[in-house]
Amino acid sequence: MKKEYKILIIEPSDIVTTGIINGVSLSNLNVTYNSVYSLQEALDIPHHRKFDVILTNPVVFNNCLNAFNKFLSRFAQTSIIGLITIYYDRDICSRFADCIYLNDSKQVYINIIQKHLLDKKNNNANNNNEQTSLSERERDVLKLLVVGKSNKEIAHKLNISIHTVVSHRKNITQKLGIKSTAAMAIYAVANNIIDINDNLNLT
Amino acid sequence: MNIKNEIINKKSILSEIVLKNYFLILVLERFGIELGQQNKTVETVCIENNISINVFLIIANLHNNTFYEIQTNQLNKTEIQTIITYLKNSHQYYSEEIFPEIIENIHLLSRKNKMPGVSMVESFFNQYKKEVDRHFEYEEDIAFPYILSLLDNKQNHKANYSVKKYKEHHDDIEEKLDDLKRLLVQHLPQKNDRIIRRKILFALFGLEQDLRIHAKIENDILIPFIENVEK
Repeated sequence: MKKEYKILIIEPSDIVTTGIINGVSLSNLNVTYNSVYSLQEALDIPHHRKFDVILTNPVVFNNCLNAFNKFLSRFAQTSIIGLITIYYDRDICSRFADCIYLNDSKQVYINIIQKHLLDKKNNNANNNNEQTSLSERERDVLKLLVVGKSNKEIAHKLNISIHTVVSHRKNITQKLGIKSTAAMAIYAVANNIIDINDNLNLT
Repeated sequence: MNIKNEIINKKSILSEIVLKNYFLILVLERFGIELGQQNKTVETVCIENNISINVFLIIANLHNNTFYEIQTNQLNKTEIQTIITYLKNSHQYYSEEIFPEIIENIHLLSRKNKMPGVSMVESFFNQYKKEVDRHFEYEEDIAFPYILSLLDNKQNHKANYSVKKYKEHHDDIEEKLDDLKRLLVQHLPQKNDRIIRRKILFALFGLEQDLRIHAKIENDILIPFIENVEK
């Protein structure tokens, strides 16, 4: 049986919602929809209900950044695509995983939705492998990080660019689920990556 | 705490709402309301204790439902003062009860579990506590007096106050607490410490829930209030 994808559409206009649903039905994905008219209805959806992709018109946030942030954090696990029917603040648009504009052709918006539905599946598969352990390089970065070295010093020492250091740091945080250097130091000692007698940066 | 969607209103029976959500025991304490109020409504108890019903309902509902929408526009001077007193009382609860208890348990943890890294949790938490204390001091010495001076139309504390700093503190505090939970749940091997580790985690989760609402009160009530008056 084909995998069933779930899409949530938050859009005040029935015409737009119906249009999107008709368009996506042309792709050969098996998709079910939930559509609501307002942010509140979306937030009222029970937490155990998961979606693969959410399409939302930014108009439902009513220019309220707080509501927008709350929404993003509530659905942090889901790809959120902006449904842009009139001009919006670029900052808002840039925070969506992608944007669909009212005058996009069928092919364009179907591609965008499809990309995120399929992306998500791949990401999940990757995450499961990745989360088990740090790569050699990430361990090197971690070692230097927890003794208080700056990005620049780490880049110099490992002979890589600062940009690469930053991206390693990001991956470390993502894999370990910890953000502060002090907590990383504890992780590093517990996993014998460094010795407790090293000069640790515990702030 | 579970999400309990029921909205508390002034006709709610105080004892019933507490039985449905025991976190409200702390809320009552911080408002100086005692338990044993029999069948009195929220309205009656608030009037008897000289507390704004409005403020009580905002804070109690926040504890019942994290998505509760706060209507702040109609808060008056006394009500803002009540909120500040409430926050001060909760600071006291952390500093005098919760933190000492967690510190003691973390100390015990490092005595029971000698695996590498565990002993470092103690200094991690002490550092965290220092940051929280600093934030509380900032609030009590700078932010709250500034807000109170705004209420009196005086503006002599402004020099040291910054909304940005205030918000950043909240993020840092939340981040470290998250990290500590993650270390204890995921990364540090358990050894001879089942009970003590569970006690620490229960305290941390409770603390987190409480601090989140604490920050929400500050971010969504006090800061908009300041921004509004400063305009």
